[in-house]
Amino acid sequence: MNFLFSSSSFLPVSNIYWKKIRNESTSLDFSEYGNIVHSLLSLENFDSLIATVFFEDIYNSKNQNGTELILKALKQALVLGKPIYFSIGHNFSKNHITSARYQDNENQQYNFFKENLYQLSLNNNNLFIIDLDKAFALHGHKNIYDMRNWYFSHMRISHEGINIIDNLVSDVIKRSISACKKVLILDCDNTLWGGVIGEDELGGIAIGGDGLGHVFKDFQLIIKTLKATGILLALASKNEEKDVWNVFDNHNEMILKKEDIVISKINWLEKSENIKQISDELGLGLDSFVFWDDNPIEREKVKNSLPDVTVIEAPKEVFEWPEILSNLNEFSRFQITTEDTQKLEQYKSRAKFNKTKSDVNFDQKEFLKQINLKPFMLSIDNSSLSRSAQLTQKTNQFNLRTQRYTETELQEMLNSNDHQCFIFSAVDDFGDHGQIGLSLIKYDYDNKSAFLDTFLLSCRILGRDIELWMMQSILNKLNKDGITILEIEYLETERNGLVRRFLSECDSNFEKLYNSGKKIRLSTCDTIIDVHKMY
Amino acid sequence: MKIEKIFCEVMELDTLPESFDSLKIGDIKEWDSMANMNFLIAIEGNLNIRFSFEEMSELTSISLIKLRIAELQQ
Repeated sequence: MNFLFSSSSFLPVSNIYWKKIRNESTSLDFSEYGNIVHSLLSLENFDSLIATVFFEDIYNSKNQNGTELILKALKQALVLGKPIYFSIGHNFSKNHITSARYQDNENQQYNFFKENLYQLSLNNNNLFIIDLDKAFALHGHKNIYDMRNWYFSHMRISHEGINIIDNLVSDVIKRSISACKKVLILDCDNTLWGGVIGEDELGGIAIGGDGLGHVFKDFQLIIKTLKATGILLALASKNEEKDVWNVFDNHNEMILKKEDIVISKINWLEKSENIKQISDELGLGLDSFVFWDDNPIEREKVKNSLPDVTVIEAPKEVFEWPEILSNLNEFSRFQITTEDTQKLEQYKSRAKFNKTKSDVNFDQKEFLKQINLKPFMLSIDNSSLSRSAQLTQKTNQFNLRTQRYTETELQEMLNSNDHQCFIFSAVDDFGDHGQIGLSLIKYDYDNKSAFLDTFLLSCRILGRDIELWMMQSILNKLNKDGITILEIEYLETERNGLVRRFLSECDSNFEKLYNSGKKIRLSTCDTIIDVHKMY
Repeated sequence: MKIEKIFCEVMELDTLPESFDSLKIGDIKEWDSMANMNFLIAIEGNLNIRFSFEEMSELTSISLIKLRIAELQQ
């Protein structure tokens, strides 16, 4: 992405600064400082804007930099749909006597301005507000706001302040283009409770009550909260399995219950082996895993053998853990969808499904009929927009072209006349799987053809032939719309090999066509599968 | 980070200029007064020292800057 960087007062631009933001961008241009409004209005020429505003620069200013003008220009710029990262901070009055009875005017104005920004962000999901006050307070305002720099060069902050802004903005940029982690792998002894269950026994471990027990209980509360937002919990513990479940089932201070855990590997194998298995069973890549273990040796081993897993360097001071975990960037998101919160049940039913499937004498067709599977195809609307964008960003394995879209981009497609966008959901005896598939189709009415821009299916639902049902339903729909040909192009990535096999099922010539660089062209009268007889 | 590396990064140079130790502001086109300030602030941040208001305008050659750094680090 080509970024424009604009600040309300001077900030240095040389290569030694803004390294993390540079890492996230293809190019970074700096506009003249003190001209936020102008930068907002010239956003057409860039992919995205990073604005850094110190409120004291715009407060009471009647010129180009005034608050009202900025808000007006911001509204106008947001219409373009490009991401705007707006950082805002305020070097507030530090006198405690003047603020003992009344809030001073500048502060009031500041809160009002911030409130306005958040109001705007409610209706514009391309606006990201970066609250500098919080991070500056954490590092100490007196280390950040620098009067020498201000009077020497119109720069309000110190070197440290610049680094903080660089960190915060790049974190938010990163999250806006890539999804958060999905799985938290936990050790048990001295991680979920104090002590070793195999030695200390049920009465001897620390969980609940005062002191360290209180810390472990709070740590579990945070884990439980993460679970409620859709983070999957798994155990990797070197222990006797029955000992661990004894704690879960019989210690009444335990916050986490057995049913909160999606998969557990409690044995004496290397943790890296166990984590790899968890990844296979869940069908989730190791890069969506976070590992938490109190033991630095276990951490080091996992780090070395599974470099894709994020290993948290938990400090020896256990009392720091609850706060560290609850503020971990790895699990932070801008919003949590209903889909997210139902994940655990879905993954559990998938594990159950896989188990049933691996039984002997397994007849796939008969099985699919027995589980009462019902797939649905719906046009995308506002209520499914955020989930649709999420699907394009998160799905790696069963994804035809791996095109990533933001909500705004999808909205544009919906508004255009030449796109049809569908979201797929499914229910069966193993649970409500929610919205699990997506297809974006570009119509060319003149040539009676259509191009399959996106075709993806969440991997947790694979094995039910839903992809065939989706493709056939799309063909039927196109046929009804007077389209005769569907063009399918496969873009290979390291992880989407599954699609290849599927495409051969759709067209037996696929491999031949693909190897000679050609697209598949399916006739919309074709029947790949009879959707009425499938389930 | 060493002052040589900071200098190259701030001035956006691939290699250190010849006779670096006797260089002063204006000797190369990249080193103007703005770059000088960026340089001094980057030194402060990386070496954890602080220059005074006056020094921000007086420290305009490598020899002076190195001297002052040595004093501050004592």
